[in-house]
Amino acid sequence: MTENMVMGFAKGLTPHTVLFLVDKPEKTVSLAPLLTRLKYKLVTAVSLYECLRLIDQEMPHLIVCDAILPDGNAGVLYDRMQQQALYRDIPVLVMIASKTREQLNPLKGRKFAGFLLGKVEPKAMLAKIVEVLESHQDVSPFFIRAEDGCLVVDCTLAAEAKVVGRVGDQMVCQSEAEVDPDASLLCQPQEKGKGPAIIRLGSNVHRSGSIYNLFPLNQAKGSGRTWMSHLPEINLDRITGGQDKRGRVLFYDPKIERFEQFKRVFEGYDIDLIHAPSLQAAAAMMGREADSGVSCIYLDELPSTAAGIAIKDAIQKIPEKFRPPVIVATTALNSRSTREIRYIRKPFGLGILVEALDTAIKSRMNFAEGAGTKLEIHYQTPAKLLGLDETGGILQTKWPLVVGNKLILQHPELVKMWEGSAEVKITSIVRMEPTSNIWQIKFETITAQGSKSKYWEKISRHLSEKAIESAG
Amino acid sequence: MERICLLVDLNTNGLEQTWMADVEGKSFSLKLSYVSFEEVQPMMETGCVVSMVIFSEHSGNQVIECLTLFRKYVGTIPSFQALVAQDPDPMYLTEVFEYGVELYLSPETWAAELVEFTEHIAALVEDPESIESKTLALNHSIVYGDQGQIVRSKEALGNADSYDYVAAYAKANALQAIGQYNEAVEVYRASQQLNKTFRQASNSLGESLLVLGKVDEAIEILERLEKQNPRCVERKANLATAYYEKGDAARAEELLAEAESIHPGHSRVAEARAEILLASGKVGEAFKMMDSLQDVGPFFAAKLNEMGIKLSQQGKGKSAIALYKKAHKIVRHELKYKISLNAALACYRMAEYPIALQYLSRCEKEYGGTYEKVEKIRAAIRKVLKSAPARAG
Repeated sequence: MTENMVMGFAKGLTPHTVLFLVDKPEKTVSLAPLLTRLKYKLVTAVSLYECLRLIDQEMPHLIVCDAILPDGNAGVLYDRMQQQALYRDIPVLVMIASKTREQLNPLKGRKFAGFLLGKVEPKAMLAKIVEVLESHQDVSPFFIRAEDGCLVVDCTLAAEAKVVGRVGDQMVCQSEAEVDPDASLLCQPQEKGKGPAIIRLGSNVHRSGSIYNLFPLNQAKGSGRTWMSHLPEINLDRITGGQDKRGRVLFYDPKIERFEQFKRVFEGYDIDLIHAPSLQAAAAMMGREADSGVSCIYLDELPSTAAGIAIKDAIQKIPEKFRPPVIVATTALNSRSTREIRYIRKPFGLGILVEALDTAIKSRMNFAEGAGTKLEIHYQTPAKLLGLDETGGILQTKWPLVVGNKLILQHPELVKMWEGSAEVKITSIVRMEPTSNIWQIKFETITAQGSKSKYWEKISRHLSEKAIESAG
Repeated sequence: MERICLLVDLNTNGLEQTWMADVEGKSFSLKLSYVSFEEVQPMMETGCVVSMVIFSEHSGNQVIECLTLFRKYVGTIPSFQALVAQDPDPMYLTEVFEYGVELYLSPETWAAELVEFTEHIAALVEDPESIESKTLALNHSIVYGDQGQIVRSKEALGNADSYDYVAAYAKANALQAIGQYNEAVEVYRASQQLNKTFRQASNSLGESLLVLGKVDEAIEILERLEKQNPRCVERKANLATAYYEKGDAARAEELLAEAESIHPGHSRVAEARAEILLASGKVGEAFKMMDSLQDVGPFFAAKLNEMGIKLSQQGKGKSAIALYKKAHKIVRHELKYKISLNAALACYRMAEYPIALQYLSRCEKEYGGTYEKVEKIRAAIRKVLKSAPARAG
């Protein structure tokens, strides 16, 4: 991973905590939904005493407070925060009811992040909050850059999985992590003598409470492809002597000519396409076809219109057991695959579509109970640690990961700081630019799940000691 | 050596004026070279091209010719090629997928996407241990080198053919180039097994089976591919040859007519026609048609050698030599040494020893080292020349 990958921090990556210190909690009511929409956490205190307690507990990224408080004022709050090194950098935004001496005097000589004068509309207040947070690069005020903490080393994100076999040309793994179809991952077997391979175009199947990841073998590259060639077939229908049924795909393409061409092409791949001339027709057909052997649904674009919503509703109405995978071809650069919908970016190559349909068809086959092998592997992706904050930190990778996944962050210094624990949870992920392959990932460490301030004190102490060591 | 990424403009909608502005301020790991269709082959012949991006909204014979030239001069590395198109139709997707190519860049963001694309390729090309750099070297040996170089480049691939379909395909091409068709068939099969959607391996497997006379299996494989893409002229020509071999001249003609309607004047169709003419005894017409051929493949080359040997054995040495002279001009670089060897043998049979020795020297040069068969003929000639004055005395 090269240095030039670092390019500031992605907006909206860090979920911020905003602490409101107001005399009446009702003051935040109209603002709360706006903050929630931006994934900010809102915490409210009605006294200076409560505020100081919450600062310790929540480690907020911004404090918005009334100039005059029932048990003090904004100046007192500021001074108390300056007394503790940990809280010195938390920005404070002051709401001044009126330009009176009583309101203004306590603020003198102190460096507040900004002021809001008079009665402020919720939208204007939100804009000011966003502005203040963005002026701090949209990261936590506690954030320590990796280079400042002597933490710049190559690291790896990994997830444990077991290869259970193959269904046709799809390798099937059981894991606790979902994989993003856009990601290329290193598949590293634990067993010595078995080589690694790069795997991509993965998809996820949930069955009997387990997550199965399917990867097309045709796309695997590296010496590990050798052992993959010898994986046992675990499609029970095939094992018992049956033949694979031809895949049937409900195919929405608004242009009939395009559909006819695709139909001819896919006949050669033993896949039957059934035409849906419109999204409305596709939604109607979904209900009818769901239990009649449709292996997969393909949609050319899924707009956020009534027709798009109807499709999503139709998917939800199909009982989970019968719900076929949905593939959406789109030009939207920011669309991310979910459990229900897998996006493929247009323009795509034929191989991508062939593999996506094949994976979807194979994911419906009867394989879970027929698991044939238990080869332990790690999915790995290289990452660069950009820095740490009070809940975890920020990483940069070349591939997207799935929010909610619990992964192992293999970083020698962090493992020491976290006393051997390396498990992290991905909380958000943002692509740096629409066409780039650079993703920033916010993670939380399991170690920080107790008291944030105690955790952060420990980390800060460790980093200071390390800084002294390296200076010596 | 300078590494070039060709930007081939087949749209002619003003890219010539705008591409420089599009790439300005961006850093590319390969040198970008904007070219028109006519400039593609001369650029490929420089040996500096490692990557190609074709700007074309629609499929067509020019797109296919560019991909064919890349396959010949650079090698079959699908990930080193891309297309820029807004909304490629299914036939377009299918036709270029015949070459394994499936990366499309958006006309709006191609320049930004090209930064990563060239970075990735440059890293692989510059790494002497990468499969891609070894594949490029092997292909270069097949196009320009002798048999010895091909063998050395093939060995440099190590066991990569056991896990990488591109390496396996390159190795099979090398085996075919050195005349080991049985081995080539097995390695093409391995490539096909490693990536069942990689159509080049399946096509070449069909072609190699034809050379080995396994016509039925070749037809089975080629027909399956034909179902998935009925617009590949090269395959139609191979299938036509296969059906003719099987005795189904009508189906062969039907396929050639289809191929001609897709790409009139395609050299591979002319090659198949020449093969059929020759096989049906219309030697004069076949000879005439051969004048327009180039890069003739192993099947027809084998047929020409077979016919030359037959003529020579029948005592029609001069006709055999005329055939070999023509054949030598039109067959692929790596197949020439066999023609030279057979020409030497024909001259030997006619007792034209000095000319036979000249053909042997040429064969040796083309082979690129000591060739056992050359040594045997040379020894036989020496023996005759040595004993001739003695007998005369």
